[in-house]
Amino acid sequence: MDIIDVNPAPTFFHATALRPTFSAFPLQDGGSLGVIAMLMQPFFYYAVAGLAVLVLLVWALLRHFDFLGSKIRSTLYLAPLFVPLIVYALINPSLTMFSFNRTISFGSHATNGLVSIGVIVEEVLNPVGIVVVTGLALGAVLFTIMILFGDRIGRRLLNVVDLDSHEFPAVRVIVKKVAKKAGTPTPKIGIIEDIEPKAFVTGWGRGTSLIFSLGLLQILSDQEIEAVVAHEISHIRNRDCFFELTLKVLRIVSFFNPCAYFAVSKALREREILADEQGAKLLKRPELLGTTLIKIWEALKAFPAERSLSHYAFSLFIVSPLWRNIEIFPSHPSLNVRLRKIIDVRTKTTDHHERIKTASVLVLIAIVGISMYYPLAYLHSDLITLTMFGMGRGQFIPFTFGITAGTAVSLPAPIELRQGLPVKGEVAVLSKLPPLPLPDLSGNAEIVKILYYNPDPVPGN
Amino acid sequence: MSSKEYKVSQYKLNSEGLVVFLGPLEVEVMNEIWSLKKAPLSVREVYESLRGKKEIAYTTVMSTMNLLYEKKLLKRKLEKGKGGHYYVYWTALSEEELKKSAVEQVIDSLIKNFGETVVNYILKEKNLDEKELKTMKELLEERLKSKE
Repeated sequence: MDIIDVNPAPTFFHATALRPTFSAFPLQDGGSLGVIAMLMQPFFYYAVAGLAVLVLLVWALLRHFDFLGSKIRSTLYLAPLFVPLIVYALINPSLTMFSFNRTISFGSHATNGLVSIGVIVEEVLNPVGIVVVTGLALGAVLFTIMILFGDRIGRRLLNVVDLDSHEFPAVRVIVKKVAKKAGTPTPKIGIIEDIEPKAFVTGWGRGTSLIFSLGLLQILSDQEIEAVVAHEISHIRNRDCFFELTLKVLRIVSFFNPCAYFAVSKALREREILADEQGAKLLKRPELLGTTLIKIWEALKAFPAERSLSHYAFSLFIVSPLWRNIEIFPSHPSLNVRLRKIIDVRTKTTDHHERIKTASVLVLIAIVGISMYYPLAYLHSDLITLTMFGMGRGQFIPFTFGITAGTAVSLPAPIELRQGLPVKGEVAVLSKLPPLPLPDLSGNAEIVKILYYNPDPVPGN
Repeated sequence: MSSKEYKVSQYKLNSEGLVVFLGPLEVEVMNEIWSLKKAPLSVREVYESLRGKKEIAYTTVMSTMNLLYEKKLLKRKLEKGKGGHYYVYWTALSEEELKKSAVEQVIDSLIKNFGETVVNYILKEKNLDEKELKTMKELLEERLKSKE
C-alpha cells in the first residue's frame, strides 16, 4: 500500500480533479453560517464570551455595589481582560485547520472505470487563529516597545522639552512639595509648547516626568498648578503607567472584542477618579482640584476636540492626558462625575464596615470566577484537563478515519471533528474499494499532515 | 514704518555688530534663525539648535523670541501639529534688511539733530581721500540740481 502525500497531488489523477481551488480562507462556501461555524472554535468563543460575560458581570456588580473604591473597581475591570490569555494558554490557537466541505468525484478513466467519491481534507489557514495570533503578536510588540522605548517615543511625538533645574522655579517648588507629601520621588519636569492647557505623566522609575503645556502654566495660578500636580503625582504613586500599559496591551490582544474596549475605558476612568480622590486628599483645599478642573475644561472649549489617529498614538505613550478627546469609549470620566467624586472626598470617612463589605464582594467574585472553570472543563474534557491548579493543556484525542470509495461519504461518528475545529493528528483519506485497513496513526498525533492512501495506483498515469 | 524696517530703540557705542542695536541674546537667536534657513520654526527647534552650541535654557530662548516678536523682528502664527497648538516664528527682515534699516535710522537721526556737526565732522575731521571727496562732490551737485 502506498502512502502518498496529497500535497503535491498524486500524478495519477487529473490535477484539476484532485485539487480543488485552494482557498486560504474558506469563507465563501458557507456564507454567514460558514463564518459562524468558523468562529465556533473553543479558543475563540471562550476568549470572547468569557471576557464579555465577566466584564458585564463586573459592570452589573459595580453598579450595585457603589461603596467599592476606585482602586478595586479599576482592578475588577482589568481582571476579565486576562481571560483570553488564560484560554489561549489552555487551548492553543491554531493557525491552520482542516476543511472538510469539499466532496469531489474523480473521473472514471483515472480510476480504471471505478468511480471514487471522497472528501478532500485540506489543511487551510484558520482565519480565526490568525486574528487571535495577530492580537497576541501585536500585544507582545506593543509591550516590548513600550517597556524599552515608550518613554522616548512619547516624548519625541509630543516634542517634550526637558527643563533645566533653574527654569520655572515656582512650578519646581510645587512639584517637590506635593511629591514629598505623597511620599514619591520628585519627578522630572518637562514642558510642551502647546497653548492648550494640558498635563500628563510619561515614563516610569527614575525617568518619570511630569509634563505641562505652556498653555496650562499660563492660565493657572500657583495654587491651581498645585492641584494639577497633586492629581498627576497620584497617578505616579498608583503606578498608573504600568496599569495603563497592561490595559492597553490586553486591549490589543482582544482587539476584535468590543467588551475589551468597554472594560479598558471603564478601568481608565476609575483610575482617573482614583487620582482625583487621592489628589484632593493631598491638597489642603480639596475643592481647589474641582475649580481647577472647571477652569481647564472651560479653557479647552476654545480648542477643537481631538480625534486624529496621531492623537490616539500619543495617548498610548502617556498617562492621564488632561485633554478633551472624542472617543467612543472615553478614557476620562465626565467633568460632572469627577467633581462629584472630589466633593465626596471631603465628606467620606473610612468606614470599617465598608472594608468588610468590599472584601466580601471580592471573595464572592473570586468564588464565582473559580466555579466557572468546572462547567467549562466538563464541557471540554477533551481540551482542558480537569485540574484546577497546575492546569496543563488538554491532550487532543488522536484519531484516524477512513472513507470508503463508492459509498456515501460520511465522517466517522465517534470522532468529534467538525469544520472549523482545529485538529491535530494525521487525517486522511480517499480510497478505492474495498475498505482499507488504515494504519494506526495515533503515535503521530502532533504531526499535522494530510495523507492520501491509494492501494492500487493506475500504472502509466 | 514699513514691514521691512526695524525701529531702533538703542545704540550701544561700545558694542560690536548687531549687538549695538539689540541685546546679545537677541542677536544670537536672530543669527540662529537666519542660519537655520527653515521657516517657520518653533521655539523648541531654535532652542535645540542653540543648545548644540552653548548651554542655554529653553525659557531663555522662549522669552527672547517673545521679545523679538514684540520688537517686530519676528513674526509668528499659531500652528497645529505634533503636540497640539503652538506658535511658530519666522524673521520679518533678512540680516541685510535689518542692518540697512537700523543704520539708516541712526544716520537719519544724527543728521536730523546734528546735521551741521555731522557735515563738518565728515569734511574736516575725517581724512577723506580725493576719490571720496570727488564722489561726494558729484552726489552734492546731483542733489542741488534736482532741488532747482
